[in-house]
Amino acid sequence: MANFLLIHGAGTGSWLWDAEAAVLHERGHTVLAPTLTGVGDRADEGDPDTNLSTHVGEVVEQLDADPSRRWVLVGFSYGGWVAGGAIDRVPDRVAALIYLDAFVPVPGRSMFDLMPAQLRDMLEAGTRISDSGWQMPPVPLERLGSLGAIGRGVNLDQVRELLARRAGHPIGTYREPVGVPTRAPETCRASMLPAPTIQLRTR
Amino acid sequence: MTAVVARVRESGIPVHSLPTGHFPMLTMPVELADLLETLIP
Repeated sequence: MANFLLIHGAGTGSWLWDAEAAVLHERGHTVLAPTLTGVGDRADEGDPDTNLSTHVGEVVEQLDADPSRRWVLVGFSYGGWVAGGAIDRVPDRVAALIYLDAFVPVPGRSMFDLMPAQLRDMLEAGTRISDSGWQMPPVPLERLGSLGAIGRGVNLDQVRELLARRAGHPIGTYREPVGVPTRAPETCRASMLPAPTIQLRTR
Repeated sequence: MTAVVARVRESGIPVHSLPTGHFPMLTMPVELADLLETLIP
């Protein structure tokens, strides 16, 4: 049996993994799916200083809590960026790294560096007028579609229903560059499960 | 996405296919669990 640590995407929380965690748990695996600071039901714990290092540190703490365990680290969307940062800190604790339709860290770059400028500007503007001043509002799904982030054939009504619980996300996590190696350590089996509907701009 | 996947593949990370569906952990958790289990070392 394996130990799974599931990292959610932006503006969601551990609830995103409820169905998946239940299946893995029923099969005898150990499953952790923490909600990161400043997100979901932990939104009140964040502040303007909440950044990528905050989230990476939380995952590292989970990975390092029991030296006898090695983990299968699964990062979805933004969670891939966090997973990449965490494995750089505690490579011996991770047996496998799975990028699930995720942003794959690029050393020295931030999440914003990989986004279309139009989307980045929209998120920055949305944060400025948010109640907190540091949380990005969820991107409207129609907007994601027009930006090409959601491709043809996706039922927006279904996605909207699934993600109606989306909320704000600390913008500091998108601004802070990650300093990880592109290659995963040899002791870790890395995989990517891309969905064909997400498009990113690379430089 | 094609460019990103190509870059990831060039870095030595194997790329696998997801089951159809945009948010598989929500819409098809069993199928995704099957796939994740194949990736356990």
